[in-house]
Amino acid sequence: MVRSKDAIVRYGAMYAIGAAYAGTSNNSAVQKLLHYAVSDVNDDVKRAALTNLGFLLLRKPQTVPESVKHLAESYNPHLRYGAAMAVGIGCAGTGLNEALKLLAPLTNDQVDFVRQGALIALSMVFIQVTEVQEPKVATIKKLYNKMIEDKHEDVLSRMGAIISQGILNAAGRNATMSLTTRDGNLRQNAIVGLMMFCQHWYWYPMLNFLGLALTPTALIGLNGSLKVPKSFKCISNAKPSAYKYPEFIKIDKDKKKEKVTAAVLSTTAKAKARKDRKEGKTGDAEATSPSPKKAEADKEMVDEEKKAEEEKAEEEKKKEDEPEPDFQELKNPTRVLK
Amino acid sequence: MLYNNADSAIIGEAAAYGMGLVMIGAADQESIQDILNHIDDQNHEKIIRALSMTLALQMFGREEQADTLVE
Repeated sequence: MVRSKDAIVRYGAMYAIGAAYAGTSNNSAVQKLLHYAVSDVNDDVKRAALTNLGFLLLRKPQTVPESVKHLAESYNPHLRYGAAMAVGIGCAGTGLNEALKLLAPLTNDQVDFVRQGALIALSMVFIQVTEVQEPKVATIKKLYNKMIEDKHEDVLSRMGAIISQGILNAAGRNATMSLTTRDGNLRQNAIVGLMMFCQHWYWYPMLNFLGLALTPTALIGLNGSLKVPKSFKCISNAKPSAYKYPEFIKIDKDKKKEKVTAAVLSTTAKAKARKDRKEGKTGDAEATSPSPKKAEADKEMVDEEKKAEEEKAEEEKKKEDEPEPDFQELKNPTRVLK
Repeated sequence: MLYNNADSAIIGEAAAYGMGLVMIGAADQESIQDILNHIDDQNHEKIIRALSMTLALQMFGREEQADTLVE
């Protein structure tokens, strides 16, 4: 396959190497992929070769940013994209700091699709990572929001930001991305899912294959008859806030759209004047002066609402003042992170 | 054979991906040869890409066995 004249077949060969040696960190395979990433004439093949490096090294996430570091600074945008994807795949769900260091500069790359790749990779790495574990997560989320709202941003990178938001909140924040099982075996469907996800470059609906790579973050205690007993509890020796649900997208309620005053055309004004003249301006008196009682009732309502709000704020303050407990009792079934 | 359908590349593409997903890690000699022949006949980019992905998926987890095909 690698000697084929057709670049697409060589592209397939890169994926064949990635699939055949997935998770093995096989040295000769890594060398081969790096070789093709640098020496092939076709950009698609280069990109595929680097992307597949992520699949090879997925058991050793810390080696991925190291081995693609130089290529992430390449002049070729396809290599930069491939490097970002390799990190996204190889470090999926780990929240590695090195991955952040490599991907952060790529999120404001000159080329739009590199930004897209970097954003998607970031969300794959930092899925289900709380702000207590990695404070930069807050910055990443802010970046996504900013990019989505920014109308001057390129369509591709905005799409990347939107997809990344989706990945971060995947499955109602009850799932993480993991290419291995808890005991370290490869999850075949997750790897194949990500491989097919990478085909979204050519056809967007392939994005949906990402779902295969997700795995639920749940702890469910069962008894002998496979039932879920309510009485089962487990104690987590961490502050509750350390592993609480990541915050969901906040929608600004205060930001109401300004009402656009409709332009009044001269013709409509004239028509109105004509109509008024015909009707002899009757019924004007009825419409004015709203009843004073209603206004009073409105005022009372507002006051009550204000009181309720103040009480709420006070309660929240009290809660904040209380020292956070060092452990937490989790009921069955519950959500846990890796 | 769906991928013989000349009218629509999408159908051929879907058929190829479908075969690949069903035969993950199978490394079946006969079907690999079949697919390689088809790649030579095809001139539609989408179908070729899908077929080469099929080959990749068939090689899943096969390590050295994949080298002969890749080379």
